[in-house]
Amino acid sequence: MLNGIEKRLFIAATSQNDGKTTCTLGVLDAYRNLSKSVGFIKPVGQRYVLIDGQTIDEDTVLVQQVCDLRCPLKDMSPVAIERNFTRQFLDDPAGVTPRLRHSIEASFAIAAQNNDLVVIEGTGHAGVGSVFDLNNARVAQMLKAKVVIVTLGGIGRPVDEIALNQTLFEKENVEVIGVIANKIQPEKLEQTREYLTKAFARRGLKLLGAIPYSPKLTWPTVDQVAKAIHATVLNGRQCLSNKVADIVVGAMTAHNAIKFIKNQALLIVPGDRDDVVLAAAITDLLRKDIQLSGIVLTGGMQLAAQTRELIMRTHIPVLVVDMPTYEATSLLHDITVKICETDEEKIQLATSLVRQYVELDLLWTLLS
Amino acid sequence: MARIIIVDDDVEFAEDLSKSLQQAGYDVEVKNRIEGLIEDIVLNRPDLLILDVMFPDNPVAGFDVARAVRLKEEIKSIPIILLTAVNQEHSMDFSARDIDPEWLPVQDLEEKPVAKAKLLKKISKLLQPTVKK
Repeated sequence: MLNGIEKRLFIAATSQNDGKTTCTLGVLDAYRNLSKSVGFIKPVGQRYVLIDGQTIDEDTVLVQQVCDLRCPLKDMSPVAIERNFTRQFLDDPAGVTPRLRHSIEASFAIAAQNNDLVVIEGTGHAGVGSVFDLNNARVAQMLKAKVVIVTLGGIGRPVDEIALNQTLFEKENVEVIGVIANKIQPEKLEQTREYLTKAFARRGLKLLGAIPYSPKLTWPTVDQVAKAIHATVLNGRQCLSNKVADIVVGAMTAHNAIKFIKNQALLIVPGDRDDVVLAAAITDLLRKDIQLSGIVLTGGMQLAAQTRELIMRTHIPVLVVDMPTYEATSLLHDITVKICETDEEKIQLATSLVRQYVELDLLWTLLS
Repeated sequence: MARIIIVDDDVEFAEDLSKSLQQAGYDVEVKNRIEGLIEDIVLNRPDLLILDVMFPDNPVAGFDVARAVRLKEEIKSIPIILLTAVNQEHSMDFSARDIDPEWLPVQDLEEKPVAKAKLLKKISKLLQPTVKK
């Protein structure tokens, strides 16, 4: 279709990590499988990577990997907020804003070309970008898009937060057509769906989806763990894609450690606790129901040479850090896991959750 | 002329080292695989073994070979030098300090890349008591 005729969906959220990217991927994938031609743009990106010398938003790289869209990467990610950007803007607002607007509009024209639907992914909540006059509400208005807001599960808080975000979009004369509630406790899914439907109806909004919390989407890989704690990899490079479902701190005797080690657990243990490391390795080798995700050796201490040799005979990823056990554990507790383009299992899970729990037919109708 | 067997899956490295040792007057044979190695050593009775540690199917194959050599009566006295990049690839910090008659029964452990003069000196020292050049 020509520009201006395609449906334009702006996916916003009440805060970071609510599940915008999960919904974006799922929506694109679902409509693509219904023989719709789809396009994508993330007008303003904050987390980016360098590809061929260009700054490209991380989520854009993921979307392109999954959906293989016919659009140059740079046009799907026209503006990357680099370091010092805000100060540069404040030094010359009259010069910067028109340039950004032009860049977004020109890229959007290319991303939208010959598509039935263009999904526009926002950044953070509706107000993000206000400091440089291009918040999500303003961008949605500029691109004449209708908005779906993704929020977290619960009943009171999501409604409060949606109200706040809705106000900002309405101020820019942008229509919010519905809400997707994400990460709802599975046992409360039906109850939450019922009450959110009622609550949003009072605000003139449709609940377009209620997606249950899926812990697997939040499991980091050992590689992500290694990067988060700046660890050195001692062993098991070929298994760095192992998922970490649980963290066990090895501050106990070896036989007690065996009790706590579960399938896909990451053991964090001081580097001089050969006994606990050996107990964990033996558990991994001998129990068919337990596969250890990896071991983090803390305190900059090294295992005895004999233990190191045995560990090398396994595929267990072993990481070493100088920081103490408590610090490493705290860092990993707070880790934010984004879906990355190499993680096919998570991509499959995310897209299937959206297919199953979002009312895609209704969404398509509302976008008309 | 003293005979040396170099065991290393890195063909280029092994050939390069072989040439250097030949130039220094040694009779050198290169093996790139672990399979059948002990039988070869029994058959050929080298005066010294230079062993890599990591092989494709076994990251500590060199340790296993050294132990197997010590268990064979007819070859157990052959001196062994471990020559390895294990510490670069795994940060495992193995060193000559770890040499132990039971656990790591070798005469020396050197990290790749090793200076040729240094290696030649070590070889010469290990061969001195039993072999006259």
